[in-house]
Formats: sequence, C-alpha cells, structure tokens
Amino acid sequence: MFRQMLFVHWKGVRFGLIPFILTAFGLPLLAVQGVTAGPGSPEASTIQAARLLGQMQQWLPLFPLLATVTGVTLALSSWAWDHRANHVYALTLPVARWEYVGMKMAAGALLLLLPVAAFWIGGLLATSALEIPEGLRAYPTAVAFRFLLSALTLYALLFSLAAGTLRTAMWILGGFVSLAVLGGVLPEFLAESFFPALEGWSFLDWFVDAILEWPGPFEVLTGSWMLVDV
Amino acid sequence: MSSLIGCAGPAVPLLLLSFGLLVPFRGIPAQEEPDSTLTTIRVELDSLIPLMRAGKKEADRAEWLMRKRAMDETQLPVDTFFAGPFRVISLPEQRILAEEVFTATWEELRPLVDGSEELLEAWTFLFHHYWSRDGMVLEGDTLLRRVSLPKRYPRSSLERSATQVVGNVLMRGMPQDLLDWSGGQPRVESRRLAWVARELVSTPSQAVRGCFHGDLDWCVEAVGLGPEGANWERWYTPAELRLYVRSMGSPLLDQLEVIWEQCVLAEADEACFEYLRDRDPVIPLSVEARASLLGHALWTGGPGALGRLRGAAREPLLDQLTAASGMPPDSLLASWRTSVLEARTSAWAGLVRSPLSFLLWIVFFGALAVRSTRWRLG
Repeated sequence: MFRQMLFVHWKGVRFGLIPFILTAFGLPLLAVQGVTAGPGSPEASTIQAARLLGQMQQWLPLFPLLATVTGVTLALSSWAWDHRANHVYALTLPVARWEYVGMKMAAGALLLLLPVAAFWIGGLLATSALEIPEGLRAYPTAVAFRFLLSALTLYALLFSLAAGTLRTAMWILGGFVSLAVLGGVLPEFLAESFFPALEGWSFLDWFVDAILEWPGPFEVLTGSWMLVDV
Repeated sequence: MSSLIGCAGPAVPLLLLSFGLLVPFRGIPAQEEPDSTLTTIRVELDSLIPLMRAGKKEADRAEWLMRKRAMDETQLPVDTFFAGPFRVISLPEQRILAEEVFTATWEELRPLVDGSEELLEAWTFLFHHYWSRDGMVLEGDTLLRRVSLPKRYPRSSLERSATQVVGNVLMRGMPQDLLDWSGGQPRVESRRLAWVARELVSTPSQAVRGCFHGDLDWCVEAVGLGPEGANWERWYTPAELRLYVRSMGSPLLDQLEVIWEQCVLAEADEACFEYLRDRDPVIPLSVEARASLLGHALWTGGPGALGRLRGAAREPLLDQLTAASGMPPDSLLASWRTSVLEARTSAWAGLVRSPLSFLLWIVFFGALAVRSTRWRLG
C-alpha cells in the first residue's frame, strides 16, 4: 500500500516538484559562480576569499527559503487527492488512521529526498569546482543536511495543517493572529493593573524565540547556511 | 503804560517762547561740568542695581516655585535600586524589568568591569520603557544616563541599549586616540569574534594575511599599532591597493580620474600610490576587530584591567592594551588571534543536537495530523 501511496503522491506532485529539484541543484552552483581563482599569488587568494564570502552572503537567504517552499509544496500536495474525494476512499481502506497518516507522511518525506539530493549534488559540484582559498572550508554536506531537516520540519507542520479542513486551518491561523494581537496588548494591560512582572514581556518576542531557539522546531533554519565559510 | 502794555502785548508771548526755547539749553552750565552730572546719574543708577537684583531673584524664585509645583503635580513616583554595581532609577512597575535588564548587562560586561566597579559608583542609570516620555524628567543630576526606549522595542533592544550606555560610561575619560581606534566600545561577544575570523581570512591586506598565518608583527600592523604608524605601502601590496582604489569608485575631478584610470585600468602601481597619497591610510582590520582586541585585553587582564587601562592613558595605544591585559604585546596578540580563530563557526554547529528535537517535532506534527477533524467526524 505504501508503494501505491508513494506513486499517487509522485503522480500528483511530479510537475510541481521538478522545478524545485532543478533549483535545488542549480542554486549552490549559482552561489559560487564567477568566483575564480587568481593567478596563484597570496593576495589573489585573499581577494578570492573576500569575493566568495561576499557572494555567499548575497545568496544565503535563498537556501532556507527554497527548503521552506519545497517542504510546504510537498505537504500541501500530499492531501490534495483526499480533499478532492472528501476523504471517502481513505476511510474505506482497511488500515488504522494512524497507519494511513504515517504512510502518507513517509511517502512525502521520501519524495522530499529528491530535491535534497539535488541540492547536495549541486553543492558538492559547486565546491569541488572551486579552488577554496586558504582559511576557508567547504560545507556542502552540512548545508545539505540542514536543508533536509528544514524542509522536513516545514513539511511536517504543513502536513498536519493540511490534514484538516479549510475551516480548521482558518481557525488555527485566526487563533494565532488573535494571540499575536492580544499578546501585544494584554500583557501591557495586565502589567499595569495586576501583574507588574509582565512589564516588558511580549508574546510575539517570546513566541519567536521559542520556535527559533533550541528545542524549537525552526532552530535548524537559523544556523549557518554558508556553503563555504571559515 | 497802556502803550507799554500795548507794546508788551506781543512781547510777552515772545519772551515766553524764548524762555521755552532756552529751557533745553539750560544744560549749557551742565556741559560745562559734565563729570559731576554723569557721576550723579551713575550713582543713582548704581543704587538701583541691588534693588533690581533682589527683584529678579524674587521673580526667579516665584517662577521656580511655579515650575516645581507643576512638576510635582505631574511627576511619577520612581524607585531607586541597585542591580549589580549599577544604581538604577525606574518607575515602580518597571523595576523588575529594569533589574533583569541591568543584571543581564552586568553578566555581559562583568569580565571587563570586574575590579573597577568604582568607575560606576558616581553614575545613575534612568530606565524607562515607555509609550510616552511624559513624567520621567530628572533635573540637576549631571551624572545620569538614560536607557530609554519606546515599548515597541523588545527586551533584547533594552539589553543592547543598556550595554551600550554602560560601555560609554566605562570608556568615558579614556584618551581620544583609544576611543577613535576602538570605536569607543570594547567587544567580547563570540558572535562578533566569528566575524573577525572571517575578516582575518578575507581582508585583502598583507598585514592581515601575515597575522592569519601567525606572524604577530603583522598582527600589530593589521590593527594599526605598528611602530611605523599608518602606512599604505606597508599594510597593502600594490595589487591590494589597486583593489582598494577600485572599490572607491571613479572620482569626479578630471585630474584624479586620469590617475584613477592609470591605477585601476593600466595597473600602474605608482598611480595607485599617488592617488592615495593625500588620504589617511585605512587600518586593515575593521573597528569591530580592534574593539574585540580591546575587549580581549580587558577580559584577559582580569580584575582591575579597566583601571590599569585608564592609568596608562598617556602611553601609546599598544602599551595601554598591554597594561590592561598585564601581558607582553606578543602574548596579548597571540591569545587574541587564537580566540578569534577558535570562534569560527562551523556549518555543523547545532546540527548534531537538532535531530532529537527534530524527531520529536515530526512525531508531534504527525500526531496532530492523525487527530484531524476530518477523521474524527468521519
């Protein structure tokens, strides 16, 4: 059954996934394009290092962005057929719900390995084609691993959101927006009236810190994405 | 008689007119004795001065009382307390936040300040996290520094602001050349050291390259403290100078443009030197890197380092740093270079611990998907 689900997911997402695979392959190559080694003098190596680090800084935001968009696309596409048929077919299958969800989630995660592999190969090619200046090191595998974890995290989050109805998703999003708005106003009101300890506390700051710092789910997005670094 | 009177008729007004015209000239005798009149007037005026001063004093006092009464009516009560070595004033409801912010600042700056807390004794820090600035006016206290930000700024901004303000206080009174050289603030954060490591690898300067390779003489040059002083030709090779001139962009003046083109396009080294001759040489490592060296000197110097730095204010910059650190220059630069290279970030950092939390989050999200409304309704 897992093979069938994998095939169905692949069939549904393949045309959407191919651009991501190509981008994942090409992005590391683009990030180092044009940074050629000089005539071999020490200053040429330093100048190349400066250009390489400067260029990496410019391309850097696109790596986590690509991982996010890839994960989200796969997650949204994984429930597309179920939504279209109102989940009737899935409910007629002789499997437990958790088993069905597990298989569906695993199928999407397996498909996610395609862009990740493309990113890894692109990174390896990009860094092997470079003459790495002294003092710098290439991290194609580490960055590809970060890409995998980031894409999988976003995939899992959107997978759980997409499993519900549109109304549920709207409730969750609306609830979050309400919390964000109230979180900005309520602590201030409470600090002035009942709980002085809340002075200066912001829900949004707390929330962002909680999700971006370990053990938050998106901590992996905030690490170093430098393909070449000191 | 009547005739006389008749003749006198028109004469009386004429006499009166003449008298009236002559009245202004009654000063003629005074002009003959000007000193005495002026002296009289001056004495009379001088006698009024104490009266005028007394009146002005009364008016000032009345105005001051009015202002004070107005301030007392709008003034908010404040708390004064200590957080670490800092004397802090804040609104009572902001005291906990202020304590936390200044405690965090103390933890960050402690390696630099330890043993020199007396430098902070005279200072008071006014903490204000506000929607509106009204009500936090403290007058007459000249040793007051403000950590004051609108409430839209998060707590991290308050901590940065407090660190900046306290850093400024600590560096107050330091020689101007040290402030100019270090940007006015010592740095110790490892996050900044990671950037210095990138500079050490990628700054196009033979001095920096030599420092990266471990030559401490070059390290002294790279931070601009070499014995020969500022020197374009010593710090940069001709190729690096050319790169520097290129980065400055083509000038607008015709004569300079020709020299610029000879330097950049025709690669004539002499033209590059000529182009830069009238410009102050740029120290190869940035002010951030230099501030990290100052921070490192204070940090390694331990208790009293800041006091020793102040004590050596008349010495050359390198001697000031060695006095603060208590180390010879070579040892100071070697340990700074090592700490910079150790601060290099690895792309694997955080990835080793991430998988565990990552797996938990995946399972959590998967469990949420199983609990979807669709299924429960179905």
